[in-house]
Formats: sequence, structure tokens, C-alpha cells
Amino acid sequence: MKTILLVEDDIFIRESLAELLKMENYRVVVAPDGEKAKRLLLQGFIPDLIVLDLLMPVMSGEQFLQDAEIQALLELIPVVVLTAGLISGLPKKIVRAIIAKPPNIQELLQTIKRLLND
Amino acid sequence: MLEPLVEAVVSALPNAVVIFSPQGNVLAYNSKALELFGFNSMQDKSVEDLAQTCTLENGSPIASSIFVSPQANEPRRFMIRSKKTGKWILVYASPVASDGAQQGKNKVGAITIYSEKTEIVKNLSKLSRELQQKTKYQVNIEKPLLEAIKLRDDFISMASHELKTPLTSMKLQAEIVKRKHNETQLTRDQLDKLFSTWEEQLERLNSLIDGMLDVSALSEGKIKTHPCKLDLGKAIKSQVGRFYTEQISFIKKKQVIGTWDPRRIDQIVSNLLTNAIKYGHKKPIEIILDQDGNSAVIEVTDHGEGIARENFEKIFKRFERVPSDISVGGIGLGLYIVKQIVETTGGSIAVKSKKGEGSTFTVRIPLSS
Repeated sequence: MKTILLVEDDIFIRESLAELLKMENYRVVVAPDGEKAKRLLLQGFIPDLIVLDLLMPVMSGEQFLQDAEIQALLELIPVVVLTAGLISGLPKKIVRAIIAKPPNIQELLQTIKRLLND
Repeated sequence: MLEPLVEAVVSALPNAVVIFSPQGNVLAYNSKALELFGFNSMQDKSVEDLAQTCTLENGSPIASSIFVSPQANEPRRFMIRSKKTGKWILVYASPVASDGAQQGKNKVGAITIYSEKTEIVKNLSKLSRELQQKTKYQVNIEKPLLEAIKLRDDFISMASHELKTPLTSMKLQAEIVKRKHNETQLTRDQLDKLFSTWEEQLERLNSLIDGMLDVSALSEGKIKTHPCKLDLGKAIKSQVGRFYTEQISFIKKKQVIGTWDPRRIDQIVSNLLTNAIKYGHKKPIEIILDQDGNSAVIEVTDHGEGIARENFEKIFKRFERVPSDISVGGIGLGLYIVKQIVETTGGSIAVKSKKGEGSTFTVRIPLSS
């Protein structure tokens, strides 16, 4: 079973997307901001994919993607950015897909599936 | 002296003309020249006399040699200004070698022709002043304009983010319901939970839109109020109740009755409390009601993040949100709306705050607005 790290500050989005991903037979670990997600990675938790919101408290998605301590790790894990904001200048090497909120659910799930099977 | 014929020609010329001898004495002139330089007569005048009554374009004195310089074999054109008449004069000075004299041997006179350019100079300087003013105006207007555009763009991106967030969770939940419904897995409890979440999300969307509409009404001065007799304590208590939290304590020091629009009072209280909760770091919040003379005083205090002094003014501006340690929802309208409403009642709002220790917002509104 593949594991997805879902980093999202909005509790409603976090809970419902986690539930939906579980229905798709993924194991889901959640973090409410970039800082907590970073801590999980540094503790040795390596997910198969990260779904990342950008505008978050404490540590934003952009800051998370650029954090020096986890750069090497991030290069190994595909990241899907899920955001309601405008996007520019995200590191292409790490961010494999960008999906706008509110997402087309099928597109979101298919993108995740494709990246996990790559 | 010149021949009478030459004198006749000079006086018949349409331009002002003065002819100087090699020694610099005026040999001939016409009435136009008298008029330009403001002399009654130029009999016995020299090039020095003429030079002394004029300045160069930039206001500096004229050397008399400029008219009859032996070095200047070529005719020259330059602009001078008569100190006597204030007229701007374009000079066309043409050196003339006297009979038998070689140019450069100081035996050179000059025919000088003058035409008045005062109107042109005036128009030019008017144009240049206007241009300067326009440039200044442009500089003055450009900065606030650019700031307003940036503010608008920031607002649009913040507002769309805020609107899309509840839409996203509703869309995800709809997908979950669709799947579970197909498999008839939904329990009554799950449905209840779902519907109340949707209600909450819809309320969130609605209040965002209300906020935007309020701002547009406020900035166009179209805000409508429907004042009626109101027990302020009751109004505050009911707003506090809407937050369903033990975090807020309401202290009513006095019963305060006045005439206000209940909807606007609700907005003031609910916006202040929303901010206190957002930035209050989950610590207790107090809302105190008191009366001071003919004014009601509402004080909302949180013990959370606090505001840096340099941002005190900024927080009341439209679409502004100051940098925060925490990322909170909202589009920077709350305090702007509160301030506008409070001011339409003839009241005031003030803030006291210390970074890291929390904030107190004090609203004073006259008992009848």
C-alpha cells in the first residue's frame, strides 16, 4: 500500500481529502503545515508522494519546498501542489504536478495514481 | 554720419536696426529700436550704453564686444533681454569692415537687427511650467495609483483563495458522499455531520461575499442604516453566543441602551471577536461593555499575537493584513468595515497592543447616531 503525506492547513479539506485518498486504498498521513511535514520527514518518515498546499501557517508550501534540510529527501519524493493561489517559481525538479483548488477530483486522483506508478 | 539714403532705408525697415561705427558709436537707428530698448533717442549713445541696458538670456551681463567683436567675422544670433522694457530680443549682429580696414584690426562696425520674441518666450516658459506641473502631478498620482493597483491585485488573489478554500472541501465531500451513497454506506450521523459542515462552509462563503459587498457600499458611501432602540448588552451577548466558545467572556459593567442599527452593531462585535479569536492564540478573550457620558464603550481584548506599533494605522485600511506568525483566513476587510461603521455613527475606534502580548480594541459610539 502506497503512503501519501497530505500537507494542508484547512481542516475541512485535510479531513475530506484524507478520507477520499483512503477510499482509493492509500495510507494517508496528514500535517497541518510545512513545519510539521518537515519534522515528519526528518524523523525518517518517507512517503511515496506528497500532496502540498501552499498558503499555510508557520511554514508555507514554498518554504517547505525550498528548505535546505530536506532538499535531498524532496528530490526523491514526487510532490503534487494543490493550491487556490497563484503559482510561480516552484522548483520543477520537485513539483511534479500543480492542481488548482477546487480540483477536478478525477484529475487529482489520476495524477496521484500516475505519479505513484512512475 | 551716414548718408541720408542709408538713414532713410534704416528707418523704413520693419525690424529694429542699429548700426555701430568701428569705435562702437551709434551711427544710425530706427524708431523700432527705440521702442525695443526703451530709449527716447540713441543720438550719442555707444554700444556700451546699449549693452548696459540688457542682459543675456540667463540674466548675466552683456559684454559690448558681443555686438561688434572683431573676432566675430561671422554674423551671430543670440537672445538678450532689455532691463528697461523687459522685452526679449533676438539679435542678429553682422560685423562690417570699414573702408580699407582689414577684419581683425579693430576697424569693424556692425549692423544689428533686432526682433522681439517676448510672446514666444512667454509661451515657452508657460509651456515649460505646465510641463513641469504635469510631470509633478504624474509623479504625485503615480505612486498611490500603483499602490492601489497592487492592493487590488493582492485583494483579488486573497479573496479568490478564501472563496476557493470552502469550495474545495465541499467538492471533496460531495465526491465522498457520491461514492458512499452508491455503496449505501452513509449513516444518519455521517449525513448530519456532512450537512452541518456544508452549512458552515456556505456560511463562510456567504460572509466573505457580504464583506465584499459591504466594502463596496462603504467606499461608495451607500451604507444604509436602520437605527432603532437597542439594548447593547443583549446584542453583544447574542453575538458572543454565536461563536460557541468558552474562550470569550462578556463583562457588562452597565446596561447601555441607545439607538443604533442592530445589524451594524452585530457586524462591529462579530468582526472584533473574529479577529480576537484568529489572532488570540486560543487564550481567553474579554469583551467589556460600559457607558462613558453619552457614549457606549465596547472593549475587546485578546492575549495573543499582538500588533506592532508601526502597523496600528495599517490594520484599519481596506484589504490590508499585517504580517502574522500564523496564517489565518480572511481578506483584510474586518477592521476596515468596523471603522467605517463606527465612524458613520459619529464614534471612534482605537487600538492598544503590544507584540506578543495581545491587543485591545476600544469602540466608542454615541448613544444615538
